[in-house]
Amino acid sequence: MSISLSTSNFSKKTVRAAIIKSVAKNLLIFSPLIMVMMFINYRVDPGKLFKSGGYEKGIAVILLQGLNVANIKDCDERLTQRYYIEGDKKPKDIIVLGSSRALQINANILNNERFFNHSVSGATLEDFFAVWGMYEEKNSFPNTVILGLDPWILNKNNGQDRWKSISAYNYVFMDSVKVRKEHNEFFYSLNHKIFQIKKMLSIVSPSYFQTATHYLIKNTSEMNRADKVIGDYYPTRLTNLNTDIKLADGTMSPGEGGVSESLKYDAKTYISNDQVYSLGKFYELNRSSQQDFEKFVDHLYKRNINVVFFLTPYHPYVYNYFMNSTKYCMVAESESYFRMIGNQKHIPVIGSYDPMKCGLVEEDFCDGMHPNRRAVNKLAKLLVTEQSSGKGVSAF
Amino acid sequence: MLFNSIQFAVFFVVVYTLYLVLNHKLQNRMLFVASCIFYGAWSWQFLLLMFVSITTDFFCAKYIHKSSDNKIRKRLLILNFVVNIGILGFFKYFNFFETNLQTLLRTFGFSVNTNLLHIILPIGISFYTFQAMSYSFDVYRKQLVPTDSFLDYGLFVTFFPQLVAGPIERASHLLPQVINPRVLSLDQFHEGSYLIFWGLFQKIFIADNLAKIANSCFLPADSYNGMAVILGLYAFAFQIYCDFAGYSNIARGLGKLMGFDIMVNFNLPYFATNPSEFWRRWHISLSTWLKDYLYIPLGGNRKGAIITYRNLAITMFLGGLWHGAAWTFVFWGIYHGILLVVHKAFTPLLQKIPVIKNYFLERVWFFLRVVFFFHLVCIGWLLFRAQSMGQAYKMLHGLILNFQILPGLGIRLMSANLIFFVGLLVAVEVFQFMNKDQMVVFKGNRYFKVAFYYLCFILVMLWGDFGVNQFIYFQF
Repeated sequence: MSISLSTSNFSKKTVRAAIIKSVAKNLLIFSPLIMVMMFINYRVDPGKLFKSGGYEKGIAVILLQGLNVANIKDCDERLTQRYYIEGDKKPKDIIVLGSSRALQINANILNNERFFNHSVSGATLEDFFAVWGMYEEKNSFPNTVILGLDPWILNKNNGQDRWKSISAYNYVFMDSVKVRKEHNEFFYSLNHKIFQIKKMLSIVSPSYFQTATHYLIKNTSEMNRADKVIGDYYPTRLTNLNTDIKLADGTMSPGEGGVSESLKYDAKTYISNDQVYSLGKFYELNRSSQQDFEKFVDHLYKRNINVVFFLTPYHPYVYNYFMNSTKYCMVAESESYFRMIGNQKHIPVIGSYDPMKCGLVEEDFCDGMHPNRRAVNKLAKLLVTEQSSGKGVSAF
Repeated sequence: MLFNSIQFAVFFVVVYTLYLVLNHKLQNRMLFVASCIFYGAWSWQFLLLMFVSITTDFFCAKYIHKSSDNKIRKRLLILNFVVNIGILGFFKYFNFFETNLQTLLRTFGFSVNTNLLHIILPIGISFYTFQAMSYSFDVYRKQLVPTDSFLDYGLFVTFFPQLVAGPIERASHLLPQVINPRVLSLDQFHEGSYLIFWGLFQKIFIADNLAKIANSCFLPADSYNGMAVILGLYAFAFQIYCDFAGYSNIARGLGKLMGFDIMVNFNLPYFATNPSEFWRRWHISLSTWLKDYLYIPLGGNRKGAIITYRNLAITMFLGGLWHGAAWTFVFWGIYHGILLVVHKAFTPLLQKIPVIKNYFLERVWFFLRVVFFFHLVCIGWLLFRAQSMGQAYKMLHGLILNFQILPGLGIRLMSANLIFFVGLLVAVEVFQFMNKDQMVVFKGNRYFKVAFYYLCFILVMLWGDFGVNQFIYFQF
């Protein structure tokens, strides 16, 4: 590696050749590590990127049988929604569109069996459109749509692109309601292809390798635990196991021990990053997203569908931080905006980003942004109050 | 376009491939265009602003050199100074002064309009402004003959490896490398590759992981636990060092790949035993700039003790302000000014301490001095990192009066992380210090180097932060 060559002895061409040779030699030295990384990424594949949807299809099939699915390791939640809607023969009465923060709204709270929660992690407006696009394609619509509205859906810089795995349906919706005038089929198909290529490139992604190794280590250590479920997912009627369960109504039941012991520490960790989850560089409410959102709501209204806005509270420590930080002043602005739209369009707005307003305390959260099971009951009261006040949520 | 991003990797591969096939003249043109693209990727509007600065410097320096009339020379220098400092002052300090002026007026009962111009700070403005100004200063002092080529001068200022966070190069050092054909060698290529590798390791594995610890310890709170404060300070001390030194190493490495020799900006600063030594080791390009263009013109240490102390204080005050428009930076500068003054005042006394002749005791005494001064530097980092002077006060209060010996779960976890992320760095730096050579690892035998690269590579692959975080000094 410390060969002494210089242009004083060699021509420029020779130095160039020597540099190329050196690069090749270094690549060769590191190639065993790179090969190991690629092998682990492909074999462990924690995000199921190389399994072309078979994993998600299986989950959807179990859910469609009215059973819960236990021990889901990691899956493309969006693909699960797609296969579920494609295979669903029973029209739905109420559906929820939102992020993991809206996953606590379940069939029991609303006492309705024709309910499904389509919430997916880090959902953005594009996810709303894509899932709704699937209903448009089927020409089968629910009576009520609860929209779990997170502030980041109005943040141009939310950094979410997971919706691209179902972007074709986003296009279906865009096409049917002309959300954006400038939409273009070529652009969407290109976008989808780029996303597929990006997915494939994950095989050489160091961050994917980190996820894969942590996943591998976790699984290996769990194998030694007698009480731990190992292996693939499986159907169950139980709702309380040592592993995460995807319930038949689309919601999640976290495995026991899934709730953190040190809530305040988790909440602190949540805001300790330079950019809080999807809320970084949130300088303004994105006008284009606002327009799309309003068109979407109008579209649902035209279809005679009841709409409810649901604002999931943040952990008190996190909310307090937002309120005292100019960097996150758009969180409060978002809530005001959603309330204003609700008011204008006579849509009930339930909940608030402010936990105090919902009567939630620190112990009602799993981490900085997700309410836990205990909070579900408190939030349920808000929904029931809304139902009894008769403000137009007839489906409740 | 950050050095630790895929976009930059692609950009550099393209630039370097072209660089290898072009002749010197075309290399310079290509590098100038590439540097503009590199900067323009952040903001093309601010690229235009940089051109205003470059054009003014180039022509002012040219006419300063041509003119034999001292009055005209001086006026041109002042014009150049006003344009550069005017741009820097407006974009960097306007809001700071306006806010403070409003507060002051309100204190005296005046009603003031609270609307602020929300000015965005152009990235790297402090670095390229200082680099550009040094050119006209040197020409004025007749220490440098200006170049006739606008392109060469433009490349000297915009050269992308050191454009946004230094090192702040001098024209006398970098400009000849731009003007004259550069020699490429395989040794330089290897050395550059090593510097890039080590710089990326410092950034991705150490700095960005320590940032998580430091950020959580510096969150706003009503009160602080001293243990958490000290943990946050240690984390930040190594974070800022690895972030900035990592950037400088990458910049030097990129330069070396292309046959440029960019100056060393850090020389094991945490091995300093006193403030003077610290500033000879930390951000060397800025401290020498301040020394040459501020401290010495003020009189340096030639006019007696009191004037020397005043000059030190002014230099460090402005050095602090250079870092950012906030009181925390100002007080950080003042704090270091005080350290320098106190050290200067006590130097004669310290020199009277008898030299320890026992090798072991001498090492222990040295170690104690390093540790003691490191903690003084950490106090400075508290001022530097705090979001306000109020927070700095609360944290200092917690450090002194609320020091809990039994840390909680979070603190124990963070302490373990801190040791894990800093361990290899400390080992490498001790090795470098003992051998008095920062390239000692690079000069090691082949098997040692392969083992070292493998270790770093594995650590980065398993625990590196690939979130592509911005370098701290970009904001200055």
